Amino acid sequence: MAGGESYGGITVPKGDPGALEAAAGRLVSTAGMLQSFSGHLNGVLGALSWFGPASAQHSLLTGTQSLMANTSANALITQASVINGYAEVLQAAQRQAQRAIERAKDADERIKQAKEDIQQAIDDQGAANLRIIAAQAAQSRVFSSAVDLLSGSAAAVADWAAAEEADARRDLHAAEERERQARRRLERAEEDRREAQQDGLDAEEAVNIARVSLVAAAQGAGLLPTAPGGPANAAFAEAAGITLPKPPEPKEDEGSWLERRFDDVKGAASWTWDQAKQVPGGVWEGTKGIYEGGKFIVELNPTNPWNWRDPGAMIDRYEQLGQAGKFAWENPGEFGKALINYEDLAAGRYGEWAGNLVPDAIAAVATGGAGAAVTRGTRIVKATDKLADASQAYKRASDLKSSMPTKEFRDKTFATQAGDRGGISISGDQFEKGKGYLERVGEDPSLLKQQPSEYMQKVMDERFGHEMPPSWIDKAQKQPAGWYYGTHAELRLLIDDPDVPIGITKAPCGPSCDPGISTMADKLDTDILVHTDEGPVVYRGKDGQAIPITKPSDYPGVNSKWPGALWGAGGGAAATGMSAAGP
Amino acid sequence: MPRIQVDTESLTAGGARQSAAGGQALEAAGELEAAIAAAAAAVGDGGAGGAVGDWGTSWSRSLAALGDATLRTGGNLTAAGSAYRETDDGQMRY
Repeated sequence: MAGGESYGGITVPKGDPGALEAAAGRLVSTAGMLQSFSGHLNGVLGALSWFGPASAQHSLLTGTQSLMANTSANALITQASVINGYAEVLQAAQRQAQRAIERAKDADERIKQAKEDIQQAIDDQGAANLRIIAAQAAQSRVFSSAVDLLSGSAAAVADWAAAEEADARRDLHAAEERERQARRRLERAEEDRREAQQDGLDAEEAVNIARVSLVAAAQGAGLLPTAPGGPANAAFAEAAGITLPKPPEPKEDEGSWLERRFDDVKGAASWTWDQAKQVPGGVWEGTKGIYEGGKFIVELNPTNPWNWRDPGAMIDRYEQLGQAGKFAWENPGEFGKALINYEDLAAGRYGEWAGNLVPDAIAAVATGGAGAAVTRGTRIVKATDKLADASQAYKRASDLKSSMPTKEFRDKTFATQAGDRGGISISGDQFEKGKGYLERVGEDPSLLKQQPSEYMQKVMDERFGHEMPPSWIDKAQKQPAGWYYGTHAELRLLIDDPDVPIGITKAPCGPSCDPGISTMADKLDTDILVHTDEGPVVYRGKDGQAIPITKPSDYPGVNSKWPGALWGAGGGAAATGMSAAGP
Repeated sequence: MPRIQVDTESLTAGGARQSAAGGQALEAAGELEAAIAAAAAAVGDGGAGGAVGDWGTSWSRSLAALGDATLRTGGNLTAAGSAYRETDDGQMRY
């Protein structure tokens, strides 16, 4: 698919995934050629019967050529996977945008139809009202005339008028109902239209970031100097706004033994000796750069095809990285500097540069290029991932709650994990009804957690020593003590997957869920991350304390054993913010 | 002067093989350039496609240089074999 189609502000991203995959295949094939080349050179060395100074030099040079080819082959395979990953991102995004366009067209048609229906219903109501008024007027005239009232014809007119009024009222009510239904359809269609628009924008954003990654990989490799102190590829250096130091002038060289002895033999010796001094070094450095650049891209996620197993979560991750991607796209120079850890490079610390490239490159993306020098690591990225999951889970829970067809269920507390296949829990114990409603809104009903209250009470008590307290609702519902708190949503998810962040539409209740989660985190020595209507809170594993997260750097990541110093002011604020929650 | 021991035939044969390998690397460089050009055209964006294309061109040139260097190293090997033989055969003769 070439993409480019557009409708109502949604555009299918341009590009040809099939051609990209084919190109990636050709790169793998080229890598095979280089491996074969490397093998042949090793074969040459093995078959020579030659000892002496020239032999040693030839062996060194040929061995380097073989090693370079082999490393190049590995780098090409990595680069092929980068291109292939981009192709998969592009293909998925094109499909998503195409579907978004179809949905938008359908929604627009429904919006148009609903508006027409509303207008028709309003017109019908007007007509019915006129009929009612006319019928009432006719009845009024009949009753105001004592003479007519005594006649049979008047009675007939009165009966007709009453029947007409009743009929008109029925029509009025029917028209009002049609208007209500049409307005509901309009609302749903407009919501679908908004979602379609957002899906289109998400797809576009995903491809934009993947393209930034592609450029970054090329720049990351191209910015490498061909030798310590040597020039980078001019085009890449210019794109990155970097002026690398001028390479030192080469010293006069008397040449090799081969060059001195055989300089008159077709000029081959002289040329080869120069190349041995300069070109292989450049290729070698470039090869390492490609490899590191490719590794960076694969680890970064945007072009990793595995991430597309869960497109929703990935789009959320893009949202988290969106500003960074935008920055990188618009400021390739600054991004490039941060990406390649320019400080080390400019200072000639090549070893440190190579060692630090990958984590700093990731940090560069996560922080919009500005934070790499400060963070020097991936901690924030990992934390951001978890926080993004929690945020996405909360959004999913809120969306599900508001989509419920009945007020009874819209009043319940929803807890979910992130992703289309994440678990869902609804407060209360009307599991069959809940499954039915989930199916109606397009969710897989098998995702609904269905542990009964009795089971929850038993597990929380036996595993964590948390006893669910009695509530007046227990008696009102003629249930045993502890039943009510055992029907709350969040613990049903957490007892099975405590290390998976969840979103809850309401903060955990003070009497049971909040202390229950705290105890669970403490006993399991696991950080539990929940995102509620009050924001993200982590119950830390070391003591179960609930800590609100106000910025990503507050949160070093689920299951980490971070030092206590990272936890500053704010401890306990979450606890004070807890409110009772219930079905 | 370190001891020199040489089988000139193995140098001649090795030189031919090394030159042939150099040709293989040159072929790989051409294939790489073509593959990357195709990828660049399929990216769907001028800027990103240009960056990928530039990378491919740069890399292809480096590989071509490697292939050329290998090819000429093979030539040197062959030339060394010839020179050893020439020295052995002709330099001390009356």
